[in-house]
Amino acid sequence: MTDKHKILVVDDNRELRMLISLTLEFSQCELLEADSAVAGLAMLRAHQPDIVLLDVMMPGEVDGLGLCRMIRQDDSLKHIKIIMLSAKGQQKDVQLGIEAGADDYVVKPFSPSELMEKLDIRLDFDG
Amino acid sequence: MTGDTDKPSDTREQQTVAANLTRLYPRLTAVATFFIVLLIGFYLAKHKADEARYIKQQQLHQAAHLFATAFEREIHVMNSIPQILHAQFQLLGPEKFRSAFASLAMEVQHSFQRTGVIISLAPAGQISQVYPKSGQTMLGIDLMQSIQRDSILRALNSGPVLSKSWSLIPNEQMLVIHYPVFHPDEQTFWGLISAMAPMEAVMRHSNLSQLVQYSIELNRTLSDHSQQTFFKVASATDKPLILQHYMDLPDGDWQLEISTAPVDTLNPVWLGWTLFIAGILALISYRLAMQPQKLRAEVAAQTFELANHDKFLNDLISSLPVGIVVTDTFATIRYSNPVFNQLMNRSIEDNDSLITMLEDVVDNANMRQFLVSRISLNEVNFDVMVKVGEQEFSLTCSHIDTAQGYLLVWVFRDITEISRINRTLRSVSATRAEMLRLIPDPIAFFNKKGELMESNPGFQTLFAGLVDVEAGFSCEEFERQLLAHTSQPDKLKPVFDLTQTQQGQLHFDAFVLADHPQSVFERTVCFDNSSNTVGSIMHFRDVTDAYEVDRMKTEFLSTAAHELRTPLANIFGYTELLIKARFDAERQAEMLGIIYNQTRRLSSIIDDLLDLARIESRAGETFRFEQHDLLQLIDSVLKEMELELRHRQLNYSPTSGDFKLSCDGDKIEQVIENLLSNAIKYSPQATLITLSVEAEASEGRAGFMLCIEDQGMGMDADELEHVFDRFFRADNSGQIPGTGLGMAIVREIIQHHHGWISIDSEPDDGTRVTVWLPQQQLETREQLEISYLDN
Repeated sequence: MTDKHKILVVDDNRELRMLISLTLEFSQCELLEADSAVAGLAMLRAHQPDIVLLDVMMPGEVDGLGLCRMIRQDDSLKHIKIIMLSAKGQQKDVQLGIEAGADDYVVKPFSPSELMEKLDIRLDFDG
Repeated sequence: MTGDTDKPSDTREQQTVAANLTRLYPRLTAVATFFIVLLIGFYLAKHKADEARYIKQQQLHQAAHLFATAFEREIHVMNSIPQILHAQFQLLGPEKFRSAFASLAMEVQHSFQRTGVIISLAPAGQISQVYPKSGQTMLGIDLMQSIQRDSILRALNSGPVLSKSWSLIPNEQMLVIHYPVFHPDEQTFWGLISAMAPMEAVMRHSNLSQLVQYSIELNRTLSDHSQQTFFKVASATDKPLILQHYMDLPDGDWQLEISTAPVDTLNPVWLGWTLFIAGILALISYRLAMQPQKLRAEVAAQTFELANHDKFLNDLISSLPVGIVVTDTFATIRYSNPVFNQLMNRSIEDNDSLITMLEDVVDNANMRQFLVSRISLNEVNFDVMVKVGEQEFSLTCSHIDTAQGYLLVWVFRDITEISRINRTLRSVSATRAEMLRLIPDPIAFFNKKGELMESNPGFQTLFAGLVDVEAGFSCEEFERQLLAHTSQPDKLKPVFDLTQTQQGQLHFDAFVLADHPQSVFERTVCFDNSSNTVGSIMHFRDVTDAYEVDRMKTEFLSTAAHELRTPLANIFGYTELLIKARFDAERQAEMLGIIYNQTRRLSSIIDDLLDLARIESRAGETFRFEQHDLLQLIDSVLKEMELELRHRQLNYSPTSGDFKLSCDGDKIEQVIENLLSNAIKYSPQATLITLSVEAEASEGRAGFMLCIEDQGMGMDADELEHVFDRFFRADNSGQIPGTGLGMAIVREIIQHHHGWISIDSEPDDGTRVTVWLPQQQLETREQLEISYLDN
């Protein structure tokens, strides 16, 4: 990996953001954090990350699914890979996420190492 | 008519014989006619046959006579020919005659106009010349044959004579006449001059051929008595010829026999026609003879039918369950049936007056006046109700025009039972209408044609904007309007199918009306086509609450799962990181701290959830209501929260007085703790928290008001609306700890203490929570009423 991959995590839970930060500590990735969908969108536009880890249930006007749809409808952002992180694990919730445009859907609680593998796969695909 | 049965038997026998004769009469007539016509036919046929036979006989006789005459004339002519030639012979001498024979023969033949006659000259019996010259053999006749010889010898002996000089040659059918010629000088036999004519030519000159169906035979009886036939002519016929006529020819040897077909005695065609006509006439006579008998049978059948019908009508009137009376126009009874007699409980006599009779038994006042006035005004077609004891009757009067003049027919119909049923029905109907009115759910009944029959006020109110209930409408129209006014037309399915035959089939659907967006209605349609009146019943129910409860339950489960999974995700993730990766001591401590906090958070969420569930499910039944001093409870909480309050300014000045109330002390402490905890968490450290308590009545009940006010971040109206929702957090940053269940628990506890809670808040302007608790717990409504009575 010549360039540092940028990963954005959008989650309202501080501890979870930190968990992901620690998970990625030994990788060559640069982690960006946002605590809401609105903040996340601003970070997306500013930093153009490779992957965004997106929480579904977030307070505020826009939730994770809303942000996901916005990314997919935005020409400058729609190439970004989206992995949904959600405590909602029912089949219909996963279905909703995929329909909104997510590439993958990880149900909480999740294993950090498994998340790493998923990230690696996405990044390897990217080149 | 069947006649009476008790007549003497001999008369019956006579009648039977007469009847049998009557029955036989047409057949006898037919047979007689047949035979009479047949006899007349026979007689006429026979007469005609006799006449025909006679005529035939006459014809035959005439024909035979003609033939004989013709034959004789022929012989005469044939005799003349050789005579004339003989005279020439005498004059010319043998030599000259022989040379002139041909021309002389021709001349003679022409002069007698006889064609086909052959003339020959035979000196010394040897033919030397023949005219016409068809051959020297004299047509094959051997003149020297025995028979010829006889005739020649006869001719020689008798000299020039007429008789017996001719002969008939059977096989050749020739008439031959020989004339002996003697030498003029020497008077010696010189030879023969012969004339021959074929029989055919002879026949031509007779008229016999005019006969029809005949046979003509010329016969001679020989010396040995055998018959020799000279010739036989017969016309073509397949019938045996019987009628005969015999006649001797002038020769004396030959006999003429003429036969014709006999005339039939009975002509078969005639006989056929006679039979046919006899048959037809017999048939006609049979039909004619039958006619009166048929008419008699018809009359008898109709008379029988009439008598039966009469009896049937009588029986019918007697057996009808209604009283029937026939009177004249003065109400004098002419006829009454058994039911009426039973009703009056007396026998009816002639000239009884119906009005007088009714006056005795009927309970109605002024019955007599009514009937008299109606009859006198000739308004006789009416229908009134009369009461006889416990029974009610419908009395109908009508007039009929009969051969005996105007009559009045009075019919008494027992309507006691019908009246009773009517009253019951009216009562049932009224009860049902009242029930329908009291049921708040909209209900409508439609008949089989789909027309609205009945609806209750609930229905009329809910659908007033959709259809005109007053004017009535069809179920199709209603469904159309319902579909047009629902916000989710796809969820509502038109169900009315008038061809629906199944009974009691139910249909459910739920819908939201555009006019009532907050309410959900459930519709139940019950088809009941077995009933004659109701086709279907449509029932509506407001199920908004049930739907809301259902929605909230689902939402709560989803939220609770999320809330539980979030700390669990952290615990799971950090633990795995600690196991799999190496971090420095400081990091490790931080991570363990997070795990510890998240575990506590998880634990407190579970505790709160269980608390809430317990309170909710048991509806406060486990609350231990005892007398507590509210101020002591506050003090206890403040002591417990000393740590949190250490750096905060609390404005609390307990007033003196009696603050005793009946409550569950632990629960009220939890309320105060939760409220104070929120005030601390959601306001900056430097700001003031005010706690006050005072006695205050609410809705006429004594109680205490607890007020906790902070100067923190506050909430907007939207947040305020959800403040009691489970897992609602005013803070989403995660900076302020909490489960989001505290306020929900607070509200539940207060509600089960029969108190109330209200919150006033503005964003960035602090929050003020007011709780009111009653002094006494009144567990049931009954106790409440008793306490009022005591006062």
